[in-house]
Amino acid sequence: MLRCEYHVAQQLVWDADFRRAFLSSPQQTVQERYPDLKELGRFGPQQFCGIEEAAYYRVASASRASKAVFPRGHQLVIAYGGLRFFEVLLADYLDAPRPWDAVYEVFDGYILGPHMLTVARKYPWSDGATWIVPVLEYEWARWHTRRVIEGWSSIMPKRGRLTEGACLVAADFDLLALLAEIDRLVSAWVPPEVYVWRARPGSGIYRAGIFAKNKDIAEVRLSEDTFDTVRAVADDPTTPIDPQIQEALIEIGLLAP
Amino acid sequence: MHFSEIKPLGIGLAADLGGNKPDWRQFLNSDEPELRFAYLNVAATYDQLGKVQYHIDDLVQAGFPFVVHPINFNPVDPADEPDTIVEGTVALARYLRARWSGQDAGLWMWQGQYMGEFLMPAVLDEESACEVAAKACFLNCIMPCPFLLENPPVGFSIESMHMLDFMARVSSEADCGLVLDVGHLIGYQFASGRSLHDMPLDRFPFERVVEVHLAGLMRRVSGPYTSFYDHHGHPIDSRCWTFLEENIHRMTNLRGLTLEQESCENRFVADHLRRAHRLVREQRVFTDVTL
Repeated sequence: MLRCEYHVAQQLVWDADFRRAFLSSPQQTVQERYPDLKELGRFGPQQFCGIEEAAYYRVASASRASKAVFPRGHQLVIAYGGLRFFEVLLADYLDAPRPWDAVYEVFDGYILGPHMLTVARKYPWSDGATWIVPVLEYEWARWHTRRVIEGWSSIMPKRGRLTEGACLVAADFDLLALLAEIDRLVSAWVPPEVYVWRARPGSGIYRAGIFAKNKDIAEVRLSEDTFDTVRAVADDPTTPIDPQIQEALIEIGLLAP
Repeated sequence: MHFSEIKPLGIGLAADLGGNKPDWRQFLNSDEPELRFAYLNVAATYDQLGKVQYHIDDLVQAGFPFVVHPINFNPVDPADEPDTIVEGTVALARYLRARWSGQDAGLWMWQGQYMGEFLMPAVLDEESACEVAAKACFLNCIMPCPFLLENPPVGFSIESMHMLDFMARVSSEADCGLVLDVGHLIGYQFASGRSLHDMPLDRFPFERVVEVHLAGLMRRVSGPYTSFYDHHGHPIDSRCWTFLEENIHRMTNLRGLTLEQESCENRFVADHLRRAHRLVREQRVFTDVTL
């Protein structure tokens, strides 16, 4: 069995709350969380510095991966969630579900992406900005589709009659207008506070299906009714569907024949 | 095969196999002998045999020498290695006809996740030394070539003994050879709050060092604290060269000096190769090896 010390070491560099408690009171913190561990050894200032550096490196790696997978959503995460979001993300990062069909780097998008969505859906966003979630879902759908086009296997569960790897994205605001505004802010290198000030959802709705087609990302805008129908056949393949709509969706490539 | 039976190779290179950066193939048959290297050190996951074949099958078929760096074993974990990892790593070593293999004494896998650059170093105490030695014996049995243990990179350590004493204890218990990573050692000195001269070199079994790793160091400063981390893309630090120049004569069973150069600029690699050739020539190391 792996020694308890390794669990302590992992928690020190992944779990910010544990790390802070440890740095202020090492013995007490370890005794409280790991009562079976007699002694962890002596830690001096240079070792505390090493723990902080290792923790920073994980935050930096998560942030870099987040920016790659969610190029615009990442800006919102920084503005509305800040460092705390990444601390929450990392605290149970090694317990997050991961695909086992290949060896993935720790912060591969296939691991970070789904975990970030899981955390984002539960995260107490400042200003109640839960509308960040559909932005992340949209960017994840596109990033995942790009990966599949590059030859990676899809990690999205097969959903009913949807084409393999296809994603449905719904936002109760004008998602594309918001993304355009974020692009404007990104190009101006504005501080995070400006995102809170300016990047806000407007009226309108956005419903779409995103999937791979002809080695490219296909993004199909759907009406609310059609979206509801597609989601129903995604959840339950036996759901009846208008034959004309079905034929059109198959021809487009969102539904499997 | 016991590590003492390994035949010397000389100066080797660890580089991205695709040859993107550095373009290591340009050094292979260079007109300048001091730019050549004698072997490639291949670090690959257990499922990357196809990728390795794609990039270097011509060299394998031509009989070019290889050393393999497994990255999915868990040398510090007493638990058995999963069959898939053992089979894949052994297949990789067999395909490459690896002269030896070596991996850092760290926690490379966590709940099935490959940790890569986030690996944890071994706990440095007596109990851990026994566990790692037992695992080293096991890995030596299953690998088709000698398995060596490398001192791992250390950002912070849980320890009751110095890294070098730990490696000495493990290698004695397992009767295995060692890879001495100079950058890891120097980084460890800083991380553990020791000065560069505060190493128990007189107790360290240099005669067990089969391979030396040499790479750049990344200097990191945060407030009053400075740390150094082994970084393969950086120029090799003068402290690493100095350590090697002062101690290589003690390594009586040295078989390979690997320049770890992944993502390093070609011009730095060229400088490093020239300096490594000069060092081994001046110190009369690898005298029976010709490139």
